[in-house]
Amino acid sequence: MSPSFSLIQSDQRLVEQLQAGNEQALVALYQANRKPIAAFVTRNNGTPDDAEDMLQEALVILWERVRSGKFELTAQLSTFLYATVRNLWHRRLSRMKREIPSEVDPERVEDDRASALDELIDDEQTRMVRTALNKLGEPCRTLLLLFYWEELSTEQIATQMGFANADTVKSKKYQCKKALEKILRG
Amino acid sequence: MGSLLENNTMTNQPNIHWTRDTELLEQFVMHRLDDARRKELEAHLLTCEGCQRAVKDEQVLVLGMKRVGRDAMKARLRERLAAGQAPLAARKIPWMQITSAAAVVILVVGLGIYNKWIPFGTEKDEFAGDAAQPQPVETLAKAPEVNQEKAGKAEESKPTEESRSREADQLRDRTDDKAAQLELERRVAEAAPSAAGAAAKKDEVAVNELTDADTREKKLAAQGVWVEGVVIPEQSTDDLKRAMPQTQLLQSQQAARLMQKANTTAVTVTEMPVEELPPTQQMRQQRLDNQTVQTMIEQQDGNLNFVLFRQAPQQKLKSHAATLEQVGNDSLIITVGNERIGYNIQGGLDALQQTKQAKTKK
Repeated sequence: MSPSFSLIQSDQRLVEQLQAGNEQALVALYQANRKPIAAFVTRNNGTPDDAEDMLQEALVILWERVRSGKFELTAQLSTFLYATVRNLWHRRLSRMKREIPSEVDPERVEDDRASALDELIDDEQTRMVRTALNKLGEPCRTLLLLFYWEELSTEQIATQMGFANADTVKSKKYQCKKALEKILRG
Repeated sequence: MGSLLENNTMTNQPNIHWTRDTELLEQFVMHRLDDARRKELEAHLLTCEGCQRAVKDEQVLVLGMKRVGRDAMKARLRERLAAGQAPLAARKIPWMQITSAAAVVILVVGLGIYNKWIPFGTEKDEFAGDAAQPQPVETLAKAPEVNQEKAGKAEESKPTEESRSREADQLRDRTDDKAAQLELERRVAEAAPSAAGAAAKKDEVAVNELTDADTREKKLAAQGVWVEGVVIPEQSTDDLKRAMPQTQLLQSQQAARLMQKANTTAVTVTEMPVEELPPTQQMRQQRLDNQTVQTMIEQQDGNLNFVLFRQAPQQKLKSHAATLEQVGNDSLIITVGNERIGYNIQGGLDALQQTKQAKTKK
């Protein structure tokens, strides 16, 4: 069944808010989706805390997609969030080795189990990058996060951070990245 | 570095290390290359351990930054949610406490009514109002006497926009208190255990008997909605003059007139003695102060008619024209002669008309 026009319209407005960098739109989406997400997670061996964590993670993924221009509104946002939470929760379950509920595809879980060690390694690497970024300070930290995490273009970063133009951002980004690598090398 | 790749492809030199081009490496890791180009680069990676390491290092950096950004965003989102309301996990309704508290309250009130410590029904009592029905917390001002001689001066004494907003705020505050009380009552009623609710049941039966006996109320309820208005004090021109300079006074009067033209709706008003109120509304009236006017808003031939139930109606049973202004989103002020009565109705005139239309269709 295709979503109603009014729902798509309100979703479109929310996506526009996210594109503009309005984090409050995430709060609205959280409020609108918390009940079905909580129902899904608790029905599948999770707790309300798990549900909250999953929904927040899904919202952050939505934020990344929208901000980087990779998101296309083809269905309702609630559908996107539900599907994302389902995938995230399957992965989490496999890592925690909880009983796999019927709603989870066993093959997918088997694949995900292989990445548990990677996850630990990733955690350590993330901690190192976080420490290095904090040592780097501003404006490098924000610039690198906008470029690598939110995947904004250099033009967008120039506008958001008040640099003269995209070339200035490119040059600054190069310097910042080199400095970060130096810190990481110790 | 596109040129390096081109050289690689064109000259068929598989050992040219494209990963030395930091921009290309970045695009590769961030999946910003098309499939064909990506496959070409991956082909070189199969035979170059150094390039594999370079890609791995870049991946650690980029993925690390993504995760740092994601964690920071999650933390900010949690802060926003915490500022707005309790998180999902913590949002558990303490039904046990509510039920226990409700049981105690209902037991005490029930015993009070049973033992006649707390009068119930026709006797007026402060406690009965608190326990049984929501009651206006305070009066806005004394009711002005309806004086036809003053009617001609009504235009002169129109309040300013500022005073209208103030009145709207006061009305809203009163209704918020009532709404809170009603909400509390609803929760208590929901949470009340059957044993402790025996006294409340007794009251309910009594009210039902009264309601069933009164056909007029049924008729009225089918026609319209009950609301409570508050008499707004008349503001004399002298007071206004003292409060503001002459030019400002003139401007505010002009603004008030313009506003009235733009935002008012013609309605009719019928005044009725309070004795004509249906029994349950009479019980309610006894708990209200003199400045609160019980009003039935009904639809007549597509127009709104306000039936005001008053102690001493000036024009009993005669409908006369009045103006209805909307102040803000949730307040309506009706002006009859030089008297003004305020109502707090969420959604204002639109909501009222929609409610009426729905009832009419029914």
